[in-house]
Amino acid sequence: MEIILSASYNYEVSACTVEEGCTCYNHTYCNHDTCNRDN
Amino acid sequence: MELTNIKKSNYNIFIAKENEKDLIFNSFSGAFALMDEESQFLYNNIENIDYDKLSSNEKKIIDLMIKNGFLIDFNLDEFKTMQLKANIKRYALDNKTKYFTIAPTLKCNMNCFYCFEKNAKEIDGMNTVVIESLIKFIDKETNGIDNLIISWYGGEPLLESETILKLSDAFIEICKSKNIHYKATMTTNGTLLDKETAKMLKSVCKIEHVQITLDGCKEIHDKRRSLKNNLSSFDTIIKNIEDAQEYIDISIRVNIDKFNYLEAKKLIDCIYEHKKWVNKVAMYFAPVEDFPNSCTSCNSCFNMNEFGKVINPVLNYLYEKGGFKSIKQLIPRNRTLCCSNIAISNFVIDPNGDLYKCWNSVGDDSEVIGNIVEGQKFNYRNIEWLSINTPKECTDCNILPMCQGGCAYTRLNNGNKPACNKDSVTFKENLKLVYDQHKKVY
Repeated sequence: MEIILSASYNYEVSACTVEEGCTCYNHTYCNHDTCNRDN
Repeated sequence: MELTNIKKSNYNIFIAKENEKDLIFNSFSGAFALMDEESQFLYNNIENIDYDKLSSNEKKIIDLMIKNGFLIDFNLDEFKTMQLKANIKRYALDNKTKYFTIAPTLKCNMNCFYCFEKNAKEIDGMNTVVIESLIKFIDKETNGIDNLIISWYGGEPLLESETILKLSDAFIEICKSKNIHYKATMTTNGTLLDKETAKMLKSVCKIEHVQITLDGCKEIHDKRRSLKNNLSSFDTIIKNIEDAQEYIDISIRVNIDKFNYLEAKKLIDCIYEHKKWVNKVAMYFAPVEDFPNSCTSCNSCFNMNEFGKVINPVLNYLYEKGGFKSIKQLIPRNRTLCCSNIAISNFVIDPNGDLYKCWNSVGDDSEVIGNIVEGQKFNYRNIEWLSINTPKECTDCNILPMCQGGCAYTRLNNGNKPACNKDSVTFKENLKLVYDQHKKVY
């Protein structure tokens, strides 16, 4: 069993930026857990 | 360990066969794995396996499956867990992060044929009273929070860049005094985003990310997205992206429908071969959607399955051209709520200071749920927004954690039927590309 993305991936994204793969135009609407963190 | 106390997650999804191994994704945990024959055997027979009799390697495999959410506690109801998390986020009055979408004008300098705001009132700019009231509103709303995120929207927001400057200045000052982290983004058509404006948006207004739409190369784009005076917008937008990318993150959104889908690959060539923007600008494709009560685009929309068939080869092409700034762009993301606007403390604010739940309905009087002076009212429409639940058809769907039922605005207008989004038809192909990239690296 090879883990390609671990379950904790969502919390390993260091910043919600285009650089980090985020292209969401408005985080109010996307509501991705990666984009809506209280940190 | 008693394996009779363990079961398979409802959100495990088989993605593809890869040399007799299974690529498997869990939409709830976000884990993605390659199962070899030994793992497949253990997984398929989990109900009949005695953990204590397993080899140490087999135990490691089972532990990995548990850690990554492929196997879960037998008594755990994942759907109830999701609902609980959603309700906490939706109705909490003490969220540490607040988001507001502000439209400083509903006027636009473009004339896109599919625009869903065509039926909205054309409110032209914010007067001084609204600006002052909005600053007081934001001051009150930011008590006790840690992060404030503003999305500028319109109409075309840059028609009112002076207002954006004034409001940003006040919001940043409020945040500074309360030790709040401030961040802003903008959705703009790009025609007014020249070098000086981009520099000002970044340095003064702290806008980090803008989204600009291109619907094809020059000829097709201009047919679909001309200026109000029917003049071309393409060359100006390209020039502005070239200049603005030095200062601000840019996402190019490409709206796809039956009229322009053949244009997508040409646009990829145009952007990534001729302009060499691959490291500066991200691109993504979205379907033109047939929103209830606002559709003006004459049966040109794809349904989601049609969109999937059309767009997956395009995503492959973009990948081949090196058009993904980060492979992370392709990873399916889960969400606690379908959209923050079903939560109690998120609003869209129009130039009159009226509050709405969704930007699709901005400028529609029947969708107003309060104003910046009196706050939100629990009128008929707001209660509809705050009480809409997951469609019953979605409760058994294995991709529910990725969409949570889909766009609430669509569901409020269609009797709460599932509103599957583009991720539902692209995530499998995207994950295959993620695996392809993984193979190249490891």
